Amino acid sequence: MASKLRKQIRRALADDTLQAALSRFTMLTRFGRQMGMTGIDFEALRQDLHERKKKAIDDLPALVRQFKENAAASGAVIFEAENAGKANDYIAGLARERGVKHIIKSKSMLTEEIGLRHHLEHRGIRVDETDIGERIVQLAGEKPAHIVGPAIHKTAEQIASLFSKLLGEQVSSDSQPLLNTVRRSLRQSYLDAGMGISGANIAIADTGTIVILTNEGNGQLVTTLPPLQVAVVGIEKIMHSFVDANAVLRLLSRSCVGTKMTNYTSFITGIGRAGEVCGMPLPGGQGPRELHIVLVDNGRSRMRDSDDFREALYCIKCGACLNVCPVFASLSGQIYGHVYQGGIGTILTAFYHDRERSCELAEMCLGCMSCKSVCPAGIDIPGLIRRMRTQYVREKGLGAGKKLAYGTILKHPARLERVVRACAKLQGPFLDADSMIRSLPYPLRSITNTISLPGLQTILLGDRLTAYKSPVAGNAPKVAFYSGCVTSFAYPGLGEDVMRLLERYDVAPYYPQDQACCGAPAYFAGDSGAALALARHNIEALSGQEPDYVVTVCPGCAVMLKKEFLSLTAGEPDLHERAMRLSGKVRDLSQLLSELGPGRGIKAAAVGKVTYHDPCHLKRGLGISAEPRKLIEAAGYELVEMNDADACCGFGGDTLLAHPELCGSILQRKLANIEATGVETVVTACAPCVLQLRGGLHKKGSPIRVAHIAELLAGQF
Amino acid sequence: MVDNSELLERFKTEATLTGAQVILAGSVEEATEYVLKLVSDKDIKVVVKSGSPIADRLGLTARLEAAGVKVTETSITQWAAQMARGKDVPIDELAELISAAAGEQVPAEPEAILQAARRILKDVYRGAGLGITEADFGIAETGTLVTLENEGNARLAAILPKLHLTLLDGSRIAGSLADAAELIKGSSGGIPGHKLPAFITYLSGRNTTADIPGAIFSRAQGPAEEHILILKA
Repeated sequence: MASKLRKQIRRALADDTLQAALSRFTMLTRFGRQMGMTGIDFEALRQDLHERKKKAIDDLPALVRQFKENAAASGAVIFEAENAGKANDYIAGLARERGVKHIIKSKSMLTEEIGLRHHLEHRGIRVDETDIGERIVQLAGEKPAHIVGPAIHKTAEQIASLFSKLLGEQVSSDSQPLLNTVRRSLRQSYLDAGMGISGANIAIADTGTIVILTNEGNGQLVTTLPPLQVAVVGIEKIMHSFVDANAVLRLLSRSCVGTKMTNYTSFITGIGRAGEVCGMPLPGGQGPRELHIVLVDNGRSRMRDSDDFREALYCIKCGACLNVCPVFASLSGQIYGHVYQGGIGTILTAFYHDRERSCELAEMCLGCMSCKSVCPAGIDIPGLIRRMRTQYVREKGLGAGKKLAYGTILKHPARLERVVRACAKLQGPFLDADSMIRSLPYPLRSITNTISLPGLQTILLGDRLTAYKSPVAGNAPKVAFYSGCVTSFAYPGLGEDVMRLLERYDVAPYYPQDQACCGAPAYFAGDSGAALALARHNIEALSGQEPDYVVTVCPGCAVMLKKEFLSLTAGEPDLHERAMRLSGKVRDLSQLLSELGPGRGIKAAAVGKVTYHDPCHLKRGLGISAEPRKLIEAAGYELVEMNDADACCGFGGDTLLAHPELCGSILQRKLANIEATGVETVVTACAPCVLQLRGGLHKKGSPIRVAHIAELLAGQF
Repeated sequence: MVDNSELLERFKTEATLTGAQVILAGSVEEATEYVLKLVSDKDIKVVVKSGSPIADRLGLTARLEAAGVKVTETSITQWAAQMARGKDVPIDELAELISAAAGEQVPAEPEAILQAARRILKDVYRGAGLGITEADFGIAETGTLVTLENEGNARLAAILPKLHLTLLDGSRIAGSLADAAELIKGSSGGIPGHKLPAFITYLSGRNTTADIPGAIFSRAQGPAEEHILILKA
């Protein structure tokens, strides 16, 4: 199975048309996001939406009852469908009873989720999508590339050819004539359709109202012209009142395409009525005569019942997470195979469609947290993905390779060290003159195809610091240095720079020899057993001498020590208490140096321009992005900002091992942005980022150097 | 009356950002001139309109007809009244008039008349060069026009014709989405059993699509232009 996904990834990466479309798309959505976030307090608005969604999901059964009551009182017929099959049968039955041969529908993720269109088409009913993007993928017989822009992967020529075939005429691929043809073709559908099918973005319980957002205006036509209307609504869409609906309206379009509101927002409450003619009322008016609202469960109640995944129901289907996801930017959404895409899509697919596939897709997640930083409903998508993987591992166990890596080796610090030392001895044949490994044999070859790896050290950081004694004594703050595996095994020189640097801040640094891997690779792969064992070990190792601070040079480690150890130890009160004490002491290096005030003699080794790459776990995980920049400038360097400084470098922990091609694609975008600045040195504040960037630049034969900020400030660079 | 010139300015700015053309008219005559110039410039021969107190104040229908433009009312009661030339006619006579317009025999029953009216009006909407509707109020925060109705003709008159013009009373601008919600909550359903009118439309700018490669295009599936004519007096 893994190899099928790898093949799909390779195909997507080799598809030049797709890659060009994704480039354009990323630029458009970035601009849209800037526009959309202007003039609002995004954090406040999304906190508000999160709370309202939480309340709605908590109250869901009562809301369903209230919605049904109010919608029915206004003339709608409500059908509660437990699953996809029941919903499809109801709608097909309705069409059959009324003799409907032609249906028009507006865009609805839910109708795709339940496979409604195919169900109807198999019964000989013509169903025309009216959203232009949906119509295009319908004609092409393909899966959507993005939930909001389904046809972003199609060129104008491809679209023109689809409509030429449909209409039996030559259709121009020039934009305006093409649009005119598409519009003309769609207009025909509206006139004689016997049924209109729509979804709903929001449902309002206290008025029985459904709310439909479109930009094209097709939503207005689909829900008004045909005499028979069906609205297919997921139960998680129901909210208490109009005020709650506003919380969604304030963020949906801004998050999705960047405008304040979609062009049309349509609130439909039951059946309309025309005024009287000759004293006689005219029910239905010029709108539908019948409105059937199909409320669909299809796994939503199950999601609501699970504490771990309930939050996924807060999703308003804006697509913002997709727009910023580096995996999406490399592959598009088609690779997800089902209807829902990206991070949140992985979770929804697990409940609605295919859990097995979801856990496989979850391996692609780098944990960069870009999705979490933009989600208007405040959903912790990476957290959900990790919980899903953990649950899966608990049930099915780890694959043999991971079991060996995490359960047998990583979990046991002494064992890991022995393995590293053994590899350091054996790596000789693979080391080049510059101590880099350009090429490893199968099965690690695809990694070295992506980046050159640093040789492992035979003398590890711990060895080098065995005899270390801080020159500063007395009442100076005690700082424990937690180095992390990359620094310890590959860049011990960086570790020594940290000790030298800290001395200039008049603190007393020391290196707890007993420290072990923070457990992050195991934790994010779902092996919480190994992660807890390492948490226990490290809490012990870092508490012994009662440091005032614990400083890190890898923000991934910092997030583990500061945040994840707390969740891991939640079941053991004493250990949890010690984890909390440790958490309060954890400092990223830049953060600590900024707190301690100016150090002595921190000066640029050579005056020059540098650029800075924001590590994911530093900026989004810990909220630190200004401090490193200030330190760089205070040392006398000129900082040139790159585009997308905070886009992921593509290391992603174990993603590099599972999907090196994907990581390589993400890395290339980062390297292009670095090169575009014209600087000779890129600085970052994360040892694994250093490894990834150095490895990628070395592979390209680029002279650009990569410095960890510790190396830069220690003046040795 | 509260001076809402700041709200008006904000509405104009936001609505213009969404792609609409916003005109502030200081007088009835200024407003009427704008409409007449629009139909003349765009060579419009057929206009559809929904019920509009502002249009009535302007005597708009008469002025348009005087300029050689055919104006069709789209709410069925007003359309029927137009059919009967304003006279109160019994249902059989109405059915006769409609049959003549439809080119087929329409029985003298409300349901049949409704269906015939819908059929005829569908063609009229599509053939119209301009749809004129009136919004109940605007929302300054987002440049949105809010229309409440039960019949559905206002939304059809707004989306099917080639151009759309919305009339708006300048004193009816809500500040924010929250203010709009308050105003809407206050409106009754009108239809028994309804807590809200059957159709509420928030219109924010011109219809657009990003699904044709190259750019974001307007005139996706609706009118080519959105005009907002605000009467300040």
